[in-house]
Amino acid sequence: MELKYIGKNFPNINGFEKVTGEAKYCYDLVLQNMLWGKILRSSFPHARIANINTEKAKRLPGVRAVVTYKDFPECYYGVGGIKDESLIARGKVRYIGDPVAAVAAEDESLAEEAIDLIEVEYEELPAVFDPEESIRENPPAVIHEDRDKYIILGSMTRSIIAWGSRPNVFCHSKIRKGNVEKGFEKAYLVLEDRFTTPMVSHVQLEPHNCIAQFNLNGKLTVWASIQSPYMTIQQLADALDIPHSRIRVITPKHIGGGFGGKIELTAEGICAVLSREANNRPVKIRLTREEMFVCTTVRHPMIMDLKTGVTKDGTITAMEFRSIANTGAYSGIGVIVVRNVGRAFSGQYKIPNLKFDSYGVYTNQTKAGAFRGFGVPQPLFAIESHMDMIASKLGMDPLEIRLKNILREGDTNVIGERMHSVGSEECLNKVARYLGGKSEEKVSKGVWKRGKGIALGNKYSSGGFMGSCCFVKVYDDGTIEIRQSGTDIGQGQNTVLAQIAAEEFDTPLHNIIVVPVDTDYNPLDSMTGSQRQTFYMGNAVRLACNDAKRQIFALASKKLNASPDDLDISNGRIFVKESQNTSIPISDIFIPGGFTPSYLPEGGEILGKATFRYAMDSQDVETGQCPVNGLRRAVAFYTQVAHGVEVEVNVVTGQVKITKFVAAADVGRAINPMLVQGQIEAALSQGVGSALLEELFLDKGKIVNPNLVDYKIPSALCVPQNKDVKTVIVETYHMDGPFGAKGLGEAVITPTLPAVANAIYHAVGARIKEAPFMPERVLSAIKEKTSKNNECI
Amino acid sequence: MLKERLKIFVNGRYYEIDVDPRITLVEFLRNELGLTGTKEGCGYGVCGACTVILQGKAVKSCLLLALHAMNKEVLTIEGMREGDNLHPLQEAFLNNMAVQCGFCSPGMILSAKALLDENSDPSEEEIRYAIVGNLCRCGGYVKIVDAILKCAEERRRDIGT
Repeated sequence: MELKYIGKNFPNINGFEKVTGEAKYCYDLVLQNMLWGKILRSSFPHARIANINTEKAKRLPGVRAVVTYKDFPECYYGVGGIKDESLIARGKVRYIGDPVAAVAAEDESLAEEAIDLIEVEYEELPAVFDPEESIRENPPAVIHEDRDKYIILGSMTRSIIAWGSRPNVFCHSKIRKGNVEKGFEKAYLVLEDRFTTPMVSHVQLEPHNCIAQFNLNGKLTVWASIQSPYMTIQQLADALDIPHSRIRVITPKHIGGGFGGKIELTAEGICAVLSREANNRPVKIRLTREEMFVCTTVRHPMIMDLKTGVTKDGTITAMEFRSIANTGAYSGIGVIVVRNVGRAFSGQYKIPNLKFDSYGVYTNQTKAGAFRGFGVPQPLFAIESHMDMIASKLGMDPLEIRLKNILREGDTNVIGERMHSVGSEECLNKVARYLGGKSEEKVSKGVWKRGKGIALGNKYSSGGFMGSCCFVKVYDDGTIEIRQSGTDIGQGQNTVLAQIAAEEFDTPLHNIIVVPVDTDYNPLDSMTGSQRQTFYMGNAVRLACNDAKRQIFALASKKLNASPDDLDISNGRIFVKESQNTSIPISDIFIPGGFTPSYLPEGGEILGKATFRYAMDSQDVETGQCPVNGLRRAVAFYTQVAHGVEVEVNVVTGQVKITKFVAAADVGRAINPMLVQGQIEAALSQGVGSALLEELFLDKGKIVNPNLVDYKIPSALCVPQNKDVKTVIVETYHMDGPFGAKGLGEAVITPTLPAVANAIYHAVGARIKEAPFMPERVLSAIKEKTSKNNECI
Repeated sequence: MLKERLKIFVNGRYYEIDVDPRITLVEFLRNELGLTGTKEGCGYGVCGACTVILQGKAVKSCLLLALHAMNKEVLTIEGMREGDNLHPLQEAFLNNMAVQCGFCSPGMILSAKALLDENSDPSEEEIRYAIVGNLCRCGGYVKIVDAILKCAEERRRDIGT
C-alpha cells in the first residue's frame, strides 16, 4: 500500500513556535512566588569537609533557605547501575565542582551573594587524575572507600561490575572470541598503537535548568530541561528516598538540546530540598555556562591500546583491545558507556579473534556520562585509524580494505549476534563515490596540502530492560493526541511520531497533537537516548493507534452493521472496507454532552494503549557472547554511517580546514528525509568539533577552559560551504522497525574523528593518534614524521 | 539602587519603564517585557542566542545595558511576524528544516535579517560571516545557510516581478 505520510518531508511540527519566538523552554518558565537557587561547589578536587558554617548566609535578608548535607537524606543514586552519588557532598568532595551547599533566595544575585557567605573548612586529601595511576592496585588516592557497600542494580550491570583488587575501578567489560594468539600468528601484518580522546562537553544551547516544588502533602513536582523524564524520577526517588509515585516531572514542550547531557540529575534534587526548606515555594536553578562545562557530564576521556592483525589481502585475523574510560568522580551512566565500547567492535567488522577489555575508573575530576555515541566514537577512532594505517602499509585502497572486512546481512558478529539491516557496504561505496577520486589523491597549493579520508562508523541501540509506552486518545472531531514521555530535544521526534500516527489513521498531520511530557498523565518511557525513539516509541505509537482503532471499530460496528474486522478509518471517517460508500464520522460513536463536548456511551474514552519492548539475549559476563541457541541479538539494531572528508592542512601552522564533507547513513527507512538529513549534518557540528576543536583541559582536576571563548565549538565558518557537503540516506529496511525505520541520532557522528585523522594523514603523511587535531598536535606529528624520514635517509 | 527611566521602542511599540541601571538589554526584554523569544546561552556574547536588532544592526543583547538602548529601536523575534504572516525568513527557516532544538533560531533569524536588509544578494560566504556569531549545536549550519540563501533569492524574485 502506498504510504502517504511516511517518507515525506513535513515541516517540523514544533517549528512554528520556534521561529516565532513563542516556544517556551524551561529556561523561560517563571512560577508565582518562585525563588532562585544557587549551588556552592567544591574548589578542591578531593577533600574532607571538616565544617560548614551557614549562619552568615542565613542572616542575609531575602535568603529563604540554606541547605547542606544535613538537610538531605543519606541516600545515593546512579543511573548506570552503581548508586555512588549523593545530591550533595557527604563527608567529602570528589571533584572541583561537587555541590557542598545551596541557597534559595528572592532573586538570583542575592542567592549568589549568600553562597559567598558560606564558610567551608576542608581537609585536603591526596587526589588522583591520571586514569593509568588510578587503575593501579595501589592508587595515590581511593575515591570511593565505600565502593563495595554501594547498592548495585540491574542484572545486566551487576554482571560487569567486577572490580577485583583495583579500588578505583568501577567496571570491567570483556569480550573473548576465538584465540587471539593464533590469530596474530596467522597475520601477515600486525600493528599496535595507542589512541586517546579528550574530555568533551555537550554544549547544549539551552543551559541546564529546573524548577522544583514540594507541596504540603509531600508531592514533588519538577519542571526541567531534561531528556528522560522517567529516569529523572528514578534518580530523584533514589536520592530523596520518596516513592516514585509521589514525583511528577514536567518537561516543557521545547528543550534546547540534549546530546546525552540531560539524562543525569544536575540541580533537580537540590531544588527539591530547597523548596521543602523554603516553605514549599518553587525554586529555580539555572546553571551558568561555566557550571555547564564544570558540573554537568562530559564525554568519557579514553586511553585505548589497539593491536590489529591482518592477512596480506587485508582480512582481519585478530584484534586485541584495552581501554580505560575516565569517568571522573562518580560512575553515573559510565557502566553502560564502558560496556558500549565493545559495541564499536560488534557493529563494525568481522573479527574472528578478539580479546577485549574495557575498564572504567574513578578520578577526581568532572563526572563523565552519556554523550551522543555513548562510548562508541572513541574506540572507532582507534579501529578506523588502524584500518587506514594497515591499508597504507599493504598498498590497499582504504575503501577496499573496509569492504573486505565489513559485516553484511546474515553475518554473525564478534559477540554472536546475527546481523540484520546492515548498510555498511552501500554507505562506504556512496561516500567513496561522492568524495571523488582516489582516496590517496594529493593536491598541493604551497603550504596547504590536500588529502582525503574515509571512515566507517556504527552505533547500536540498546535493548534489554528498555521499554516505551504510549497512549493515543481520539477526540470526536478526529483529532489524535499522542501521550508519551520521549522528549523532542531538537531531533524532531514529535514530528516523526505524528507522521506515524497520521499514517495509521490516514489523516492529515494537522490532526495530530503530540502533548508535552507530564509524567502525571504520560506513560513511561525508558530513555530519550541510544537513538531509540524512532524505533521504540515509533513502534509504541503504531501499536497504540491500532489499539485505539480496535476500540473505535468495536463501537462503530453496530452503527455500520459490519464486523469490526471489516472496518477501516480515513480522514476521520469510519468505513466498511469493501464498500467505501458506507461510512460514518468518528463523532457518530460519541453521544452529545449537552453542556459539554460529546462523550462515549461506554468505555470512558477512546484511549489506545501500548508498550513496546524488544527481546534481547543477555551476554555472557566473561566472554560477552550471546547464547548459541538464543535470539542472537544483544542490541535492538545497528545503524551504519560512513564519512568522507577532504582536508587542507597548513604545514607551517598546523591548521586543518575541512574542504569537503560526505556522509551516508543507513537509517532503515527515513520517516522524514529532511529531518534525517538534519541529523546527518550534525556531524559538521559535533563530529567536526570533536575532531578539530574541542577539548577541556585540566590542571590538577581543574578545568582551565570552561567557557565558549577558550572551548570553541564549530561556527558557520569552521565547516565547508553547502556545495561541498553531501549527505546520502541509505535505507536497508529493518524488519521490526516502524515502517522499517531504525534510529540514527548517535551513529551520525561516530566516524568523523577517524575520517578527519585519515584525511590529514593522506594530506601530510602524519598520523595523529591523539584527538582533537589542534594545530600544535598536527605540527608536532608532521615534525615527528619529517625527523623519522630524515633518519631513514 | 535608584532606578532610571528607560524610553525605548521595542517591536514598534513605545515603552517608558523604570529599570535598574545595571540590567542588560536581554534581561530587560525577557524579564520586564516578557519577550522570552530572545534567549541567553552564555552571558558573554559568544553564543549569539540573545541577538536582537538595534537600530538596524544585529547586536548581542547580553553585552549591552538596557539603558544603552535609550530612545532607540529594538526588534526581537516576536516583532518579525507581520500580522498572521510569518516573515519570509521565518518561513524559510521552517520550510528548510533549519530549526532543530530552536534555541539558536531567534538570534540566527535576526542576524540573517540584519544581513538581508543591507545586502539583498549575499554570497554564501557573506551569509556565513553574518551568522558567525550565532552558534548552532544541532545542525551544522547547512540548512540554516540554505534557508537564508533561498529566502534572499525568493525576495529578489518577488521584487523583480
